[in-house]
Order: sequence, then structure tokens, then C-alpha cells
Amino acid sequence: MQHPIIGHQQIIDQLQHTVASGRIAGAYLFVGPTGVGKETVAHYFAQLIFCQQETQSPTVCGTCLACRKVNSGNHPDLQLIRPEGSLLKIGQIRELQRQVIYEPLEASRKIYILTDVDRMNPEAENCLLKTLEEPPAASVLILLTSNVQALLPTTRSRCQILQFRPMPTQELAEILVDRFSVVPKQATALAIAAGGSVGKALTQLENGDPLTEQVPEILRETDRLAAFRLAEDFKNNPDTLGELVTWYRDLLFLQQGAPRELITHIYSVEELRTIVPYYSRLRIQQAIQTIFDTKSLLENTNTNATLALEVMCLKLLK
Amino acid sequence: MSYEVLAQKWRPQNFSDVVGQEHITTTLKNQILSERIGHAYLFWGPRGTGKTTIARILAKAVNCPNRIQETQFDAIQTAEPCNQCEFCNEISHDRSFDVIEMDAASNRGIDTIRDLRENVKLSPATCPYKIYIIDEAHMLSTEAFNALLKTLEEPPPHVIFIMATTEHAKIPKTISSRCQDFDFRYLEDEKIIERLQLIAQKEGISADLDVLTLITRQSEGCLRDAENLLELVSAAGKELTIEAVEQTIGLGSSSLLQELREAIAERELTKGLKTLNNLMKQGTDLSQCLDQLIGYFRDLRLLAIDSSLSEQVQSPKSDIPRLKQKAEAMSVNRLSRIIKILMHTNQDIKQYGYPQLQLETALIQLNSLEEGMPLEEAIGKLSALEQKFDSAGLSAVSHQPPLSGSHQSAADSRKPENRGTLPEFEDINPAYDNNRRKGLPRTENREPRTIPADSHPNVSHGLRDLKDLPSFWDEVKSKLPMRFRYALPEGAVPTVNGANTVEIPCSSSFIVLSTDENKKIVADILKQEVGKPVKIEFVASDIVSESVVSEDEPKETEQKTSMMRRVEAQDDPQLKTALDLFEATVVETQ
Repeated sequence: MQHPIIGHQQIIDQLQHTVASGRIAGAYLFVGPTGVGKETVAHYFAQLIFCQQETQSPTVCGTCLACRKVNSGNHPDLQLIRPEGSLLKIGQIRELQRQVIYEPLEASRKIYILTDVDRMNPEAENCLLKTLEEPPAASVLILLTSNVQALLPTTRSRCQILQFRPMPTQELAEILVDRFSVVPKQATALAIAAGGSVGKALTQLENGDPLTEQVPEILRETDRLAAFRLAEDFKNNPDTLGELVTWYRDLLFLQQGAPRELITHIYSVEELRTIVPYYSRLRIQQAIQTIFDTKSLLENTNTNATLALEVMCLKLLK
Repeated sequence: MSYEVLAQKWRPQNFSDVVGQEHITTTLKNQILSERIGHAYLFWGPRGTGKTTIARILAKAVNCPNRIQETQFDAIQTAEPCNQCEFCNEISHDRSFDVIEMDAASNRGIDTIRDLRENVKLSPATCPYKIYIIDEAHMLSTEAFNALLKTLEEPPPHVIFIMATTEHAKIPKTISSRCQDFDFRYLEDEKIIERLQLIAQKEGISADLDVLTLITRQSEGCLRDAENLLELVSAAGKELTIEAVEQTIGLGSSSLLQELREAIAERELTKGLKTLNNLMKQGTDLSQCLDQLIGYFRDLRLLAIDSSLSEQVQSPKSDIPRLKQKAEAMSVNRLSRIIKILMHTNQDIKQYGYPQLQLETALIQLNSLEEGMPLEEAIGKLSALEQKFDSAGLSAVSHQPPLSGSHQSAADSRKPENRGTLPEFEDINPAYDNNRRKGLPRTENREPRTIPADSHPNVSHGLRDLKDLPSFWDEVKSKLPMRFRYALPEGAVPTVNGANTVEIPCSSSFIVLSTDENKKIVADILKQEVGKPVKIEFVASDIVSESVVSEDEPKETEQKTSMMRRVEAQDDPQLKTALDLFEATVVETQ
């Protein structure tokens, strides 16, 4: 456990109750964006089931043998299955099916955590169906995915689905300020960059990446030649595209006269206000669309990144 | 025996227990009673509607010896398995030698089918029939399907094949033509609710009708989905309340959703954005919330078309009078547009993510959505306008007639949006300026807006004297393309030198603008105003535009010098020749 679980209280409650009442289903599907804490919670769930501490309600002591084994990743009844290369292959699923029929070695259950199940090819996914429907009594399958739409409806229908949600930026920033004593201004920037994932924000904090909130140059730049320089910057930090969208969002909000508390980059409001008159609603909306298009191009196709980013910058500078 | 989820525990064990699918159970029962059992069945339909269940029941029914009870005089037959005899028990617990349930998705190759062909020949061990249930049959490979063909056509008399699949299209025609085809349908909501009520009662879960209705609506006609959801919610150990269910499946609380709908209908942007933010804080799944919005406006549109369509409305019946009231206040046209934008947003969320931002943008877009008019009406007005042009015999020069009443009523915008910002199309449509000069009528199908009368000064003022340029400079400035606006400082006024030379002050960091091309653009615009050719010069002024550039001072000075150098370089005659020769521009000066 690198990080404590923050948030997801409702899910934790639910899992605790499930274990307490002994109504552990055979197949779970954890759905939520990347880095939101699905895997952490899945491990926590495993510990809830394994923990040998004798208490009234199920807890995770973290000190008993089972808990420590889970923490160090060598519990014989907990298996983590990750995609081999880019895909979760049918061979891995067959191997799982071969093992799943055996009784657990130490604990009362055998737990299999399958990450990124949206990266199963159709053969593998279909192969898993029958196991999901009626898993052998002592096994629990926990499927994790960030893209539930990519799964077959037949898979979804066989699982208990738990939705993980990213923490709202403001809430995350507050937590960073309260518990980790981050400077408010930096906390906001961190929270936005982390996109609602506590884990990401903390990693970034540990790495000591200086994050300062600054109005992106592209919002103010008028020289179209600058597009090439800016594209270069974006290429070096591809994560900043997501952040850029939030700036345009703020512009849009200011332009529409939205209430102040909804603005994300609250520390740069005054600066943004000076830029707003140069933008029309349509232009901002088109800018957002352009950024999304480019993002999707970069992530889903093997496009020429430099070219795509240059085109984007030129469009934004129009 | 360890814990089974509700869907497993309550898997029906005889035909009368099966929910819905009467067209299938009746046929099968009649077949069993009349002993005309087919040798191959193909069950297909959506997930969670009973395919595997009925296959197992059929397997039991044909094998159960207790089905026929012989009395002294007669034999009474039922179609239901007894579920008590040895055979039934073995089949129920998947222990029978003679009922083989194959997972075609895991064993999809030709070798599996070859094995099967070998075994098919052998007679059953104990039961009267040997039954192969091939589940997820669509995953068999083409070779495997073809290897099965001959066996499927004429199996030994003691063999029955039952194939179950969710994807009928993937089953070869040659296979389906050898089978009796049974299509399973989505279940009706009432039947699912009934089943859930039964389960809840037997399991000691207290759930009222509203909760079960909500669960049912969420499951889209698939019983297993509904049962799993009930399991999930009840395992959470909370009271089964509407709120608990909403929270578990990520639906926003209904009161907030209601507020959001109203905000959209009433065009209250601030309220809408705030509500959305609150929904987010509650941890709502926004794409679910979007689905609900679409459903709601669909209902409203139905009622707006004709209030007698209330049969097809999906909202609870008790809401209909209120919906009707709402529907009266909104036009079908606007509702259609709302739905269209929401659907588009839905698609964007699936493609790009960022649900919150996408929904916010949609709200803003919806807010500035005008009532609009039917397409036919718009075309009629346009052609009327065209006729007026023709009858006036106007050539396509700058004399655009004052906007006719019809156009202005088309632009019946309730509130001029973007007050204090630019005319909207200027910076996104380069053809706009040209169009305007030529006096082409412009169609704005998305955002009709009033065009202020004074935006056509050449009509109202006639030509002006160049000497008065300082007085109407602001007007000219507003017509310049976007990029000039940053460059020309507020308050700086051009000076007129001689008869036709104008010197325009320009902030020094933007002096790169002084290209011939740009000069021509300004000159053209000025020419329209004063009616004669004008020569334009840009002069670097020391006034730095406060609004735009003052923030990053240190960098600015650095850039300034390089910019100045560039301008100086541009005046160099040799460089000019080179530039002309290669049609080049100066990128950097060192």
C-alpha cells in the first residue's frame, strides 16, 4: 500500500458490509478512471476477506500474517492478472480457469484481480463469461476497468458493478491543503493536473515537480508563428493538454458570467478577465473541441504527434 | 455451500418459474407432452433473459422419469421436471454424465468438436437422453461450426443439442437452418418487478415498489441485471431506499436532477452550472445523469407533439400532468434541439471523456439556444428576401439594404449574448468579411441575433473624410481582423499625413504586423470608409498595451529587441529582393 485510501467511503462501507454479512459474490467489476484507486481498493477488499484479526466487524489490521502477505504481494490465494503486453490474452484467461477450480491454500477464498479488463480481446472476454457466471464457490473475481463501454453487455450483466468516481478538483485541493499542508495555490494546480486522482497528486508531490499556476501562453499569443514553438512545448509535456482544456473552460465560464466559485483557476481570474473580450463563445467551444480531437488523435491513433500538435496550435491561434 | 448471489440462487428450476418468454416455454412444453422433441435447438437473445436457464430445464424435463405418473388406469403426464429425482438433482448440480454443458467460448477450436463427435456416438450412461448444451455458441470458430454440421443434421436418436448465444448474427446459416430457432425477448418491466418482489419477500429484504421500479428501469429488460443490482444494494446493508439505490448506481438525487432540468428549460445558466457542480460533489455518474436528461426531454417532446401520446412516456405516470404543463411552454423545435445537443454530448463523453466539462459546455450551448423556427419558414423568409433583392435590381456592391423586418424577426433574440465581445462570426469565418462587403444575405441557422443598425456605417453615413479619421477610428478598428486588436493600443489614434497617408501607432512587440499584406487589409477597410485609396504605415509606439502584455515584463523587453531587429531587417533592400524571390517571410533575426 503506497497510499492510504482517501475517499471512496461509500464503496468501502459497502465492501465491509458485504464481508460482514458473508454475502461475497463471485464476480465484481470496478469501474472508474485510471489512477482513481481501483486497485488499491481491490487489495483492501482482499485484506478484508483474508484478515485473521478476530473482531466483531471486519477490518484490516495490517499486522496479521495474511494482511502482511497481501501487502508484500506474496499471498498464495491472491493473484493479480495484468495484460501481457498490450492485451489480456485468452491464454491468461485459460490459465485462470484451470486454477480457479482448486481450493484456496490458506484463506477462505481465492481472489483474482484482473486489471484493465477492457484490454481483453473478444475471444478472451467470451472465454471468461462462463466462469464469471458461476464461479467456483471459493473464488472471487475482481475485474478492474477504466472503460466499461468497451466490455460486452454480457460481461457487465454477470458482475456486481461498483462505480469509482474521480474526486472533484476542489475537494482534492482541500485534502492536499488540510492533510499534506500544500500551499493552496499549488494544491489547486496539483489537483487539476492529477485529474481527481489522489494517487497521482501525491506522486507528483513526492517527486517535487514544481507546479505553478500560470495562464498558458497560447491563450494570449497572437503571432501564428509561435504555434510551432508552443507545439514543441506540448509535445514535451503531453499531460498539459488536459490542463489546457480547463483554462478554456474558465474562459468560457467567465465569458458567460458564471458564478465565481465554479472557476477552477481561481487565482488567475483577474488575468483571465483581461483576455476574455478577445474570445467569442463559439471560438472557445471550438478550441475545446480542437483540443479534444487532438488528444484523441494522439491517444488512439499513431499519428505524427508534432504535426497534430502544430495543427492544433495553429487552429487555437486563429 | 458457500454464498450464491441472488441471480444464481433464484435461477428458475421449472418452466412455470421462468419469467416471461411464454412463447418459448409453451412451445417446449407442448413438444415434451406430445413427445416431439427436436434434436437441435438454438436459443438466442439478449443477456439475462433465460437462455441457459431454459436449456437446463429442458434437459431435466426430457430426462426426468417422474414426469409421467402411472396410475392404475391411466398415465398422467406433465411437462415439468420433478426436481427431486436423481437425474434432476444431478443435472441441477452439474454432475450428470449425460448432460454436458460446454463453454464454447473457452473451447472454440475444431478439436473440441472432434471430441464431441466421438462421444456423441456412445449411448447415455444413465439418462434416456444425452444432451449437449453449447453455451456462448457464437464463439466457435468457423472450422468448428462446419465440423459440427453433419452431426447436427442427423445426430443419433439419443442426442439433443441445445445452443445458446447472444449474437445470432455470428451463427452460420447452415447451423441455424438445422436447429429449431427460439428468439428470447427483453422482459417487460412489470414481470421483472413481480419477480423482484417475490425474491425480496422470500429473502426478507424490505423494498417498496418505487425502489424495485427504479432497479427495473435501470436493468433495461434483463432480469439478471435487475437481480444483480438488487443483490448489490441489499448487500450494502443499507435500508433499501430510493436514495441508497441512486447512490449505488450513481444516479444523482432526483431533486437535483429536477433542478437541472428546470434550469435547462428556463435558461437559467448559473443555476444549471451550480446544480451540476452539486451533482458532481455527490459523486453522480454524469453519463447516467445525461441519459436521464435525454429521457426527460424525449418525454416532453412527445407530449409537446401531442398530449395524447402520454402512453409512450417513460416517466412515472404520476408525473404526466406536470410534464404536460411544461411541454406546453416549450416548442417541439427547441426540444428537438435540446435533445440533439445532449445526444451529441453523450457521444463526445464516450469518445473523449471529461464528462463534467462536456456537460458544462452543453449547458452553456443550451442556454444560448434560441426558440428557432421551422426550416420551411426560414426558407420562405430567405426566398422573400431574395425576391426583394432582385426587384430592387441591386448589384452585389456594398449597398446592403437596411435589414428587412423579416430578417429581424428571425433574429428575435431575447438577449443579445456576448455583450461587449466581438461579433461572433468574424474570427471564425474568414469569408465573412467578404460576404458582408458583397452584401450577400447571410443565413445564421444556429444563432440568430440582432444586428445593430449602426454596424453598417457605409449605408447610414455615406463616405467620410480621411481627415476625420481620429473620430471614427474606433469603428474602423472594430472591423479589423482579430490579430490587429492586440497590436493596436487602446487610446492611440492614427495620424493623417498629407492627402492619403495614414500612420497607425502599433505596440512595438507587434510591429511584425507591418507587412504589405496587412497594410493592404487595413487600406481596403479604410478605402470603404473614405472612398479613395489610402497608404498605410505602422509606427511603433512606446505605449504598451496594458490589457494584454503587461504581465510578463522581463521577457517582453527581450522580445522587443528581437522584434525591432526584425523590422529593421525587413527594410533592407537586399533582403527584400530575397524575400520576394522566394516568397518568404522573416522568421528570426540574429
